[in-house]
Amino acid sequence: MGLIQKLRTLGICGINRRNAALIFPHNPRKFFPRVDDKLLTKEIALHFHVPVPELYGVIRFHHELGRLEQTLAPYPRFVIKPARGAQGKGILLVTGNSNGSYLQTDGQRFTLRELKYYVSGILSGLYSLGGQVDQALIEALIEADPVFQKVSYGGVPDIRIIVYKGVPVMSMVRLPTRESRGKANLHQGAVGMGVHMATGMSTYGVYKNRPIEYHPDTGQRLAGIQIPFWEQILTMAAHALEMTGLGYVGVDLVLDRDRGPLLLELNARPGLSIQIANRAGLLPRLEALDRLGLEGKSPTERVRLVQDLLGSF
Amino acid sequence: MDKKVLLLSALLSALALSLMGYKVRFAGYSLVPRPSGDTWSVELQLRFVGEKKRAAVRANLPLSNPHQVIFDTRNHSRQLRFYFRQSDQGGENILGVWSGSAKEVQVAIYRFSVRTRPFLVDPPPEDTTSRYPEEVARWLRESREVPFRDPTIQELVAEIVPHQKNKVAVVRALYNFVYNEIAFTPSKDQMDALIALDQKKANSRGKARLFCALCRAARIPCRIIGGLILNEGETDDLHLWSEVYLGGSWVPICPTRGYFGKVPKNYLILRAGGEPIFEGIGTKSFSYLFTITRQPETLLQLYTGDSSPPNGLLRYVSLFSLPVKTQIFFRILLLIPVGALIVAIFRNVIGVPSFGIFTPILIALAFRDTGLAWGVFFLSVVVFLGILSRYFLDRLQLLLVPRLSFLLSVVVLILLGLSLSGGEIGVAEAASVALFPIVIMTTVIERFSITLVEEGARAALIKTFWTIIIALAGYGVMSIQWLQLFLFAFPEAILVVMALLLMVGRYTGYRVSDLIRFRPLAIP
Repeated sequence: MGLIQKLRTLGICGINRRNAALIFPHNPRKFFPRVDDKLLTKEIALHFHVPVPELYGVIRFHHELGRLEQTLAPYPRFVIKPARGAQGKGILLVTGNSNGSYLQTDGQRFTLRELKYYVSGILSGLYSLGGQVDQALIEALIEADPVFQKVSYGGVPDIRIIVYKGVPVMSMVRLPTRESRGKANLHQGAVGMGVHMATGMSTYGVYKNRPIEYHPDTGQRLAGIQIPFWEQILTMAAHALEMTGLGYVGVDLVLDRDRGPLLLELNARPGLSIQIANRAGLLPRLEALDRLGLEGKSPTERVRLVQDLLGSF
Repeated sequence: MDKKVLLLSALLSALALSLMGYKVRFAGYSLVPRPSGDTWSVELQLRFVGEKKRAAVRANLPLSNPHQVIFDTRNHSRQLRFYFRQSDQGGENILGVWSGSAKEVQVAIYRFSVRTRPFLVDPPPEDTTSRYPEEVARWLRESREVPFRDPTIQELVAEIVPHQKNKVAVVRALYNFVYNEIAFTPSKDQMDALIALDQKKANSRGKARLFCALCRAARIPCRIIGGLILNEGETDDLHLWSEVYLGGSWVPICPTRGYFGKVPKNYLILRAGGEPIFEGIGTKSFSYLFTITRQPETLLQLYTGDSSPPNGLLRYVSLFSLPVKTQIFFRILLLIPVGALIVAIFRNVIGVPSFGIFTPILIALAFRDTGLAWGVFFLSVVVFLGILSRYFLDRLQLLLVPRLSFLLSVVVLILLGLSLSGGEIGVAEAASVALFPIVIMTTVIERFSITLVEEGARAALIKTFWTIIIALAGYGVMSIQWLQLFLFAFPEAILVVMALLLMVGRYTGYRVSDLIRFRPLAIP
C-alpha cells in the first residue's frame, strides 16, 4: 500500500522494528532493573552527579504503614510512586494536607485510611511490572518551571529524550491537560510537543494521536517555545549510556523552578509516539549515527554530535 | 528478513514436506481424505408376544456377497433361544430364529455392521437364451406372489413386447412399463402383482412382484430381492426390487426407484427369493424396527484407505497406532501450535492487545468444551462480574490478592448456580460445565480485574474484546474437521507451522496498528 511506502520514506519506526532491531540488540536484559526500579535509578544518577528530585523516604513493608502519618508529617507536598511502576501508573501527587485529609493535584481528597490502602496496593505490586511486590517512594513534589505554563493545564510537564548509543536523537515535551488530570502521559490524554534537537525549540504538537497546533485547554500556540538549560539537558541525557548500559533508552526529565533540570526516570522500552510529535521518523537519525563510530566518545562529545549531525533534523 | 531465520524456516518446511511426500508416495496416504460413508451400523429390534406357551419369529438376516460385507454381528436376546437356519429356498439366504416361551413381550436385538458397494451388472446387448440351468429355471415357476399365468399378465406382456426375441429388449420394455406406468405409493399393504396392475399404483413390493410376474410371463427368470435402504434413522420399511437372469448373470433392477443394471450402495440385501423377510410363528403381535447409523470411518481409513496399522518405519512415528483415547487427545493437541500461530499473527502483524499470550487459545479450547454460545455467555458473565466487583469490593478496601480470591469464589458459585439451573431447564451444555473451562475463565477474570485496576475500564474492555476475537478466530480454525484430521495424519506439518512462526518472529515490518497510528504523518 502507498501508506506503507510513505511511512518507510519518512523513516517511521514501527513496534516490531523497535523490538527486534533496537531493544533486543542494544538493551541487555540484565540491565533492566537499573531503569525499572526507580530507587536503583536514583542511586545510579547520584553516582554520576545527575540531579534528581529529593527522596523523602521509602516504604518497604505493610507494617510500616502504621507509621505513615508520622513519616509524611514533615512534608506538606509530596509524591508517592511505586518503585517499579510502569507507564506512569500508580503515581499520587499530594499538594496539601488539612485535617487529616490529603489533597491531590486533581482535586481529589484522600483520608489517611484511604492513603494507607493506596500505598498497600503499591506494596502488593498492583502497579508494578508483572505484579511483583514493590516499594513505595516518597519524593519531593516538583514545582514546574514557568516556561511551559501557558501550554499546560495542571500537573508538571516533562521532557522525554530518546538516547541511542548515548546520543540524544529525538525529544518531546509532554504537557498535561485537563483530560489527563495533570498527568504528563500521552496514553492518558496529555499533549506531546516535538523539539528541535540542536536548538531546544518546540516544533509541533500531537494530542490523542492527532497533530495539533494549539493546546486544547489553554489555546496557546505550541511551536516556538525555547526550552531553557537545553545543553545541560542534553548532557544529562547523554549520560544514560554510562548509567544504564542500554543502547536504546528513553530519558524523562523535568524542569524544576528552583533546581533546574532533574532526572525523573529512565525507560528501556520507550514508546514511538515521539515520532508523531516531531512529525519525523526515528530511523534516518539512527542510521546516520550507525554510519559513524561512536566508540570512546564522552557524553559531552556526543552532545556536540547532536548539534553537528542533527542540526538539520 | 534475517538469513539465518529464512534458512531454518526453509529447512523445517523441507523436512515436513519430504516426510509428507514419503507417506503419500510410498505408504499409500492421500493428502485429501477419501470420501467416507459406506460403512453402516444396523440394529434390528424384534418384539413379539406369543399366543400360546411357545412362539418364535424368523427373520432373513443379511449375508456377505460381492455387493456387501457383513461383519461384527451380535445377538442379544436373553430369554430366547436363537439359532440360524438355512432358508428353504436355497443356499443364498439365511434365517435367524428366535424362540421361547412368550407370555410377556419378548425383545431380541440383532446388530451388525455392513460395508457396501454399488452393485453394477451391465446387461449384454442381447440375449436369446431359451434353456436355463436348474437353479435358475426355478425362478420361472409360478408362486403365490408371482401369478404370471394370470390372463391379465399374459395379455399385458403380449401387448408390450409382441414378437421380441431379444430378452434384454423385453426386460427393458417391461421395466419401463412398471417404472413409468405404475405410480409409487409408500403404503405398507401387502400388495401383489394384480392389485398393482389394477390400481395402477403400488409400493415397492407391488412393483417388484408385478415386474417379476411380467418377466416370468415372458419366460425370463426373475426373482424378488427383499432388503433395506440404508439411511441414518429408524425405519420398519423394507424395500423390494428384482433381479433378472440375462447373459448368464443376475442383473439388478429396481422398478420403484428407477435403476436398471445397478442398484446404489445403500441397498442392503436381506434375501433373494419370495418368502416373507419376517415371520412370526404362534405370535399374537409382532413388530420389528431397524436403527441405522453411519459408522465413523477410522481416521486411518480416511487417509490410507486401509484399516490395518502402517508397517515399516511409519509404525513407530504414526499416531494411528496409539490407543483411541490418546488419538482423540492428540487431535486437539496438534491444533495448539496452529492456534499459537494465529495469536502471533494477531499480535505481531495486526497489532491488537489481548490478555496474555496463550489465554485466547485456552479460551478457544474451553469453547470447544462448552460450545460457542455458552462459552461466550460464560465469558461475558465473568467479565461483567469483574466490573461489578470493582465497584463493590473497592469499598471494602481489601488487599489485592484476597480480593481476587473472593472474586474467584463468587465466580465458582455463579457457575455452580448456572449448572444447576441448566439441569433444571434441561440445557445439557449448561449442566455439564467441565473443570477446564472454569479454570480458564478464572484466569481470564484475574487478568481482567488486574487490567481494570491498572489501566482502567476502557483498556480492560478493549483487551477483552480483542481477546475474544482472537479466541473466536482460533476456535474457527480449530473446528475445521479437515485440518484436525490432516494434522493427525501428517503431524510433521507442525514443522511448517513452526517455520511460519519463525518468520513472524522476525517480521520487523509495520503492524496494522502502526499504520493506523502513524497515518496522520503520511497525509500532508
